[in-house]
Amino acid sequence: MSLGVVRSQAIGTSIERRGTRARLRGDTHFAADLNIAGVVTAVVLRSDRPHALIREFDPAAAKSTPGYLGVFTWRDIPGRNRFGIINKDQELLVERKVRCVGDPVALVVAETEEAAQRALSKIRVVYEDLPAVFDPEEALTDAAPRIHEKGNLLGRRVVRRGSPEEALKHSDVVVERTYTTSFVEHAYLEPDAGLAYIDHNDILVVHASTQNPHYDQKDVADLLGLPEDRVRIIQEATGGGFGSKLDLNVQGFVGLAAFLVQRPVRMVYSREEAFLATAKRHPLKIRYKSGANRDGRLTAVDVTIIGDTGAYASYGLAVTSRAAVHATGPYEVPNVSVEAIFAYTNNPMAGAMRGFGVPQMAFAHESQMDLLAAELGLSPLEIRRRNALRIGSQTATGQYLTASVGIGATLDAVASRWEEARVEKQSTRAFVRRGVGIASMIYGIGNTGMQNPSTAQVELGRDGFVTLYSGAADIGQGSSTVLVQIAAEALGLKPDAIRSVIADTAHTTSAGATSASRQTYISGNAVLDAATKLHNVILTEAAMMLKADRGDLELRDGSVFLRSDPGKGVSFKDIAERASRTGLPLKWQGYFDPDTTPLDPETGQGRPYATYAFATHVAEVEVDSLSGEVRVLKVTAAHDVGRAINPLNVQGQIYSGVAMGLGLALMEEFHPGVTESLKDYHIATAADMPAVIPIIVEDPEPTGPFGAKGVGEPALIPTAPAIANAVADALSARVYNLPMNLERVLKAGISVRSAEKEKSCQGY
Amino acid sequence: MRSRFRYYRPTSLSEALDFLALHGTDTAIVAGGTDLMISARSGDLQCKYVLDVSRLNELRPVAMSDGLLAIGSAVTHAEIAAHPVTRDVAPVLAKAASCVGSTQIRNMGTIGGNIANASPAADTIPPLMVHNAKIVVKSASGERVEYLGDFVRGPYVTILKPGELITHVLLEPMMSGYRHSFQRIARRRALSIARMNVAALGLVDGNGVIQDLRLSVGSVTPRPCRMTVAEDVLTSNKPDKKVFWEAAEKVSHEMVRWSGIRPTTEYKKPAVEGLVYRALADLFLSEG
Repeated sequence: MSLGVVRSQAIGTSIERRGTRARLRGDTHFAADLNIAGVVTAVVLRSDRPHALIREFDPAAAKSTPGYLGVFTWRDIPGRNRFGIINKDQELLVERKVRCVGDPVALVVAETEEAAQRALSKIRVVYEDLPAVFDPEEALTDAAPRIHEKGNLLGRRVVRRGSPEEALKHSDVVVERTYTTSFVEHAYLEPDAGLAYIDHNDILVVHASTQNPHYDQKDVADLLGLPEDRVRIIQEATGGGFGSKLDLNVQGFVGLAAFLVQRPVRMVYSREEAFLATAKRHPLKIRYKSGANRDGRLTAVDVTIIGDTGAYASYGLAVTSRAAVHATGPYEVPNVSVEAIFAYTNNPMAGAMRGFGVPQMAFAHESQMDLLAAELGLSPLEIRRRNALRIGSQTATGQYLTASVGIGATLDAVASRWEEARVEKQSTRAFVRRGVGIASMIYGIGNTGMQNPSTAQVELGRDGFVTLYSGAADIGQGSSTVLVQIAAEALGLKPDAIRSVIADTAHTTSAGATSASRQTYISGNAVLDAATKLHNVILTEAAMMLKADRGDLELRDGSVFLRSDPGKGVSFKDIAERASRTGLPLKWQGYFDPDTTPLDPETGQGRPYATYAFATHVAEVEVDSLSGEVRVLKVTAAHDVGRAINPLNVQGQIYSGVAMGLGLALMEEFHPGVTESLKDYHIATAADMPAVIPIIVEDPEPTGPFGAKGVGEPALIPTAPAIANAVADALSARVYNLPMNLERVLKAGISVRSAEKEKSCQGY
Repeated sequence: MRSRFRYYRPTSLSEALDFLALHGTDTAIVAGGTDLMISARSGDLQCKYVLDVSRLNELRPVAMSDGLLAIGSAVTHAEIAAHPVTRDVAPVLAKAASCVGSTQIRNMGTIGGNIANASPAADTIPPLMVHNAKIVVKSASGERVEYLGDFVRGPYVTILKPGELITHVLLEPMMSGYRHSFQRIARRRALSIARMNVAALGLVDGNGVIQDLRLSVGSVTPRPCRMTVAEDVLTSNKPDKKVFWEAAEKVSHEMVRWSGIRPTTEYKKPAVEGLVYRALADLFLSEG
């Protein structure tokens, strides 16, 4: 179904993000702000052991605490004590043994938070420690302690194409290095929070800070043994998630507590608890071997990826697949061997985090590209140009790219800055060296090789107003605004004229998770599908009412006008009233599932994504070889987003991606058992931010809503490798481990420092 | 669980000292709270009372007295950074104070608190050391004055006794002709504890010879000290890069001598040399 004529400027316009003013005024209610009469508080008793059997559990002393309402264990869970987004390997409250520090042992409910904490402190748990394992390679050995009954292997993904061994043997140059990355905390502004109660229809209502209300609904219903329609999840305004709020964090606890004590229950994680108990970015160890010929073209890659998923899977399998599929970067590589192996350990759970393993992979493949360029005597920009995917290219999984392959355009977009920066980079201070780095990325939009549909409804009310219903959680990235812009464009309306109902399982249908940079492309298409249907119904009705040819009609500002006689028209309200008399439905459903195929389990061949985003960043840095300090001066960030529905929002994503990428590059490292909170975990502050020059490249995606793809995760991916390449340029030495902290940078730069020292002292 | 305590805010110094005379052993003194609040939040703070001295006017002067600069213990980092007198006669301290934490922390944190907390990474301690700072301590029964290097006994340990309160610090003002430098290394550019820090004062005579050099380095020794071995290398020499490196190596040698070889030494040795070099180059080779 195609759209008729509309007159709207909703697409490509930087309208204000929905909810911005309320947030600026402090009017927005986040889950922790919710308060209702009679609400009580739940807290979780968590394990302080990485791997141990629970030998004794004695809550007797807690019961005398004033305000005490209950201590609950797994035995009190009425349904199935298993959850997890992909693998159901997590227990809401552990039954027999704890598998990591922070594992939930008991749920304590009391009148106040203080009483709950007091009661919790009186519970006596006797553990029998088990041998623990903290290294994924060690976890896969026969001697390793078994963390889950099925063993310590989470999963494995292979991508194989051509004859990589042969091709590497005959390549003019071969470079092999090993890269590592660390656990990273999401550090969203708003720690997890939720409130649950049972409403007058006997429905368990959970208000939560979440990225995935419809998944929450299923798992909470399962835990409590309730039918899904007895559980309602309402996403409250959410202060960031970055992947961690895809997991069931507080939702199951408040749901269980409300169900058991029959009182409204709230739960708010402290920052310390968010650090202790929520997922982290997977640390990866990547052995990467690449070959190229004198013409600068890649011949083959051979990559082994070891991932540590910690005690539970969470999104680990998705990261396994995505890391493997993206290992070759945005380049044509005819011969490919990639093996990703992820293991359970007794570390904290690693899960989804902005990019699903691709930021780690990009650090490796982009470092390799610069190393190859140096071997071949090519500039880093040139080697990328020679190998960049283009229309007609085949990816590592054998997928032919037929449209919207903007990697070359992003390289072109940063080229002038790249050249200028290299000329300008003379240092002004002794021992402080300037460097310029470039890095590119590819990112598949949506889930990897699996169905991940979205649905939406668009309704014309009797009052003539249009309402959009979408289950897509807007966690700050702006999907609610973008989806409204898409509906507005399809209906010839101003975005402001559209009401929206978002992420409430009672009133919206599933849009899938807010993850994988998928909401603009996938939910955008579902909204467009629904709006197009409504558009056509409106046209048909208007044609009848105006006794006109459909082709002569135009939708504009809530009315349908005759193009041949612009004075003549009929309003949406008149149409709605007529339709309601005749019984014509005016709420239409849209559906979209991207065109993918599952990956072959042996070779990884297939069509994992319907479309890909591309980007290139140029980073300019200053490295102090005296101290190991790195200052990022400027990041020029070109992103092919297909079409920017809301350019300002795209720019916002790019700024935030650079901030997060800078942290990943230079300072973010979570050490299990050591790192407690923001007091010992460093994320970039405003003072650390470079100048960011966002460049929006639009190579429209034919299957995207008005050509759009996505930018949420891509924004972050090239930053860290661009900074790594810039640091390597500055020091003529490379850091292979993220973050490039003071210690690593100083060590890498010790020889340029010694040389400068020698030189400067000779003058005397 | 959060710490529980009773909070008192006296209205005069004598009231504060009387309270401490009675409850000194059960009392934690809060002057800005930037360290105390962390331990109260974690529950590590174990005391019956918290005595808030931050608003006592007697603890808030910044003034010259008898040729020394007196800074009240409840003067905030923000005030020290901005005050014309500190900027004039103790610019290295003003600079250090401007590097502490963030605007919010500088608005709350005080110099007395920074000293009493005695973190090896405290940003104000190296500048105070190069100003030969003395700590004035009062109690209901009297007053004593101690050099900062004697006052701090080790990481987070001072000789402050229950019942005592730091009232002010006394600094030798920086004489005219001196140059100053404060340098620090941190994991990010704001809101970060110093990995290490250096304060230096230096005077060059008419012949271009270093006449006086004072150097103190934070986070490398268990107690604050002046790096006299390095100062000696520099004094009576002309400032040149070779000498700077020589002095820097003396400092790292001193660090290893005090603290031994630790896992962090691999970084800290070259870093402290680099930082001392940076301070000396800033002191003598930069313009203005």
